[in-house]
Amino acid sequence: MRTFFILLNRELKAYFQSIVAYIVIAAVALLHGIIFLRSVKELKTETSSLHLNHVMLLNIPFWLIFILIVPLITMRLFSEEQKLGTLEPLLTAPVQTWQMVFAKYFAALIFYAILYLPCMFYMIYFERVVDASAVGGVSALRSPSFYGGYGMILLIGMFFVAIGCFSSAMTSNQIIAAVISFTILLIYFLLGYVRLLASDLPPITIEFLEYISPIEHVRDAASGLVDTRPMVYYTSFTALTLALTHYVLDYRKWKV
Amino acid sequence: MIKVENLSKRYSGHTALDSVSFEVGRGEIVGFLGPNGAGKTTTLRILTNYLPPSSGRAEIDGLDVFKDSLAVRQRIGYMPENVPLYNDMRIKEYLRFRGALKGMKGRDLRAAVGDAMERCALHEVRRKMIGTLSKGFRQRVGLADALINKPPLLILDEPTNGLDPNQIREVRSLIKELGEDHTILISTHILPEVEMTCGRVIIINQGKIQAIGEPRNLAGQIRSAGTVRVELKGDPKVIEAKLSGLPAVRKVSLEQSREDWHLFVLKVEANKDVRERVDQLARKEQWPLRELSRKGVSLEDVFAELTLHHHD
Repeated sequence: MRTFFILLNRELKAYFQSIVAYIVIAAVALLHGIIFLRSVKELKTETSSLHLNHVMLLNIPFWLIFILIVPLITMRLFSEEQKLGTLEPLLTAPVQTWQMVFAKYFAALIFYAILYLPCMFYMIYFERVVDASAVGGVSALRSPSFYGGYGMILLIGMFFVAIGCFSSAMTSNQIIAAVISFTILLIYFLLGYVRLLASDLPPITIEFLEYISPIEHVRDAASGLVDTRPMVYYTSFTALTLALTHYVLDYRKWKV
Repeated sequence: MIKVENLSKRYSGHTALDSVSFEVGRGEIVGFLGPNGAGKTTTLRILTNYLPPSSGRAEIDGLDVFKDSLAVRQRIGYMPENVPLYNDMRIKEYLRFRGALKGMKGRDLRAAVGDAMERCALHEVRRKMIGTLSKGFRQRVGLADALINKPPLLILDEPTNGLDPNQIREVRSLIKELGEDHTILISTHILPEVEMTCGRVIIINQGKIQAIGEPRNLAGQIRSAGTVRVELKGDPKVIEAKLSGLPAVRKVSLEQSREDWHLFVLKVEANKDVRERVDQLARKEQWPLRELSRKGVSLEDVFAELTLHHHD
């Protein structure tokens, strides 16, 4: 466990000692701010029974940032080590592969979570300055939509970051790693639009694809529905993806 | 300290290591010598648990490299080829990180980092980013990392690769110094390095061990291809022909000609000394002679003999 924390510390430093981290955080905060404003305007012109938070989380630009930012955060993790050859000193020290995989994964996940703090803050701040009835009558800090929505964003983020780790472990080229994970995430995201994009598929397939699509899970969670199925689904797929990452990194050991 | 038995490593298509066995005793400095691609790095990677062997076994300090992998790694200070390092860390920070990974903490860690920087003369640059360091300093950081937790065994893969002559001398003397309280296995393709630092040499070529022994003894074993240098004045073609006619001379080659003087190198059969004959010949032909010497066999000759003989 101690080794894990030493590695985690090093990975977090690698993120936060670089100016790029702050630029990314600032840029994402700015974009989220714009999306937030748009959502407020939307509610101003149309009558809707949805919570402001709900409107924001189901915005397409919000999702575009989501699937673009994860590859950016994770592309470096293993590719860089493979390119520099630093896996060799790391794994010939008394360090086990899983400790390294978890350390990198959690560092990326923490960074990812930090990126979403400003947008939660916007919601809370907005309430302070306007009448609570304008945001659906319920204060964000007491609204199931708020916790459910961001809880689901974190849950989906766990899975997405794991996909990023896996792509990064596949190649020593950061750009290729980013492209691989972006492609996977984009396809996965588009599952939510399968009804629009491929309406000629048999209805059962469409239903299944929608059932596993992340946007559907967020919609449920943001309307305050607590469902254990997506929780089990995302945690188990995260575990599976990390296990695959471990396998890819140790591949040199298996091809005897 | 190290015990390797019938170690083989096959990649699809070719065999990198073919049933290699050797032992290294405690306190020895052993040179692992071979041309590029001979299987040196593969062997070292197997010993450090980075790669598994296809067959055979390896033991370090009585522990099986694969069954007790963590305990084994605790006992090895390994410096990989080309010294991969994190460019975004400062030297001291990196060494603290590595020391902590190897299980040190608190005061011990601080002392060990100070000690390692002292030994490798890194104190003045300890705040520098690793990415800005010259090759020589990177090499020293790699060495400092390898010896930080005072492991009983140091495995260094080409520690002087890419250094300038002064730096090579520094690293060599550091290795000698370390040899006083560590067992060291260094791989290299630079011969003087081995002759100067190692008590024993393992020569490997194309995945097979060609010879093991002290540098001096190895030279003795291969007296077979002794060479004689002779510098004479006269017509080089005639001289070459006559020298070739001498018994026990295998090959004559003209090394250099300066004015009328010609320097020939003769390859001579095993344990034969042809210098007397050459002298008699020169007198008979009335060729002025200004050098006649037999070259002691160096490790370089052994190396060439063992690793090149298919081409000769």
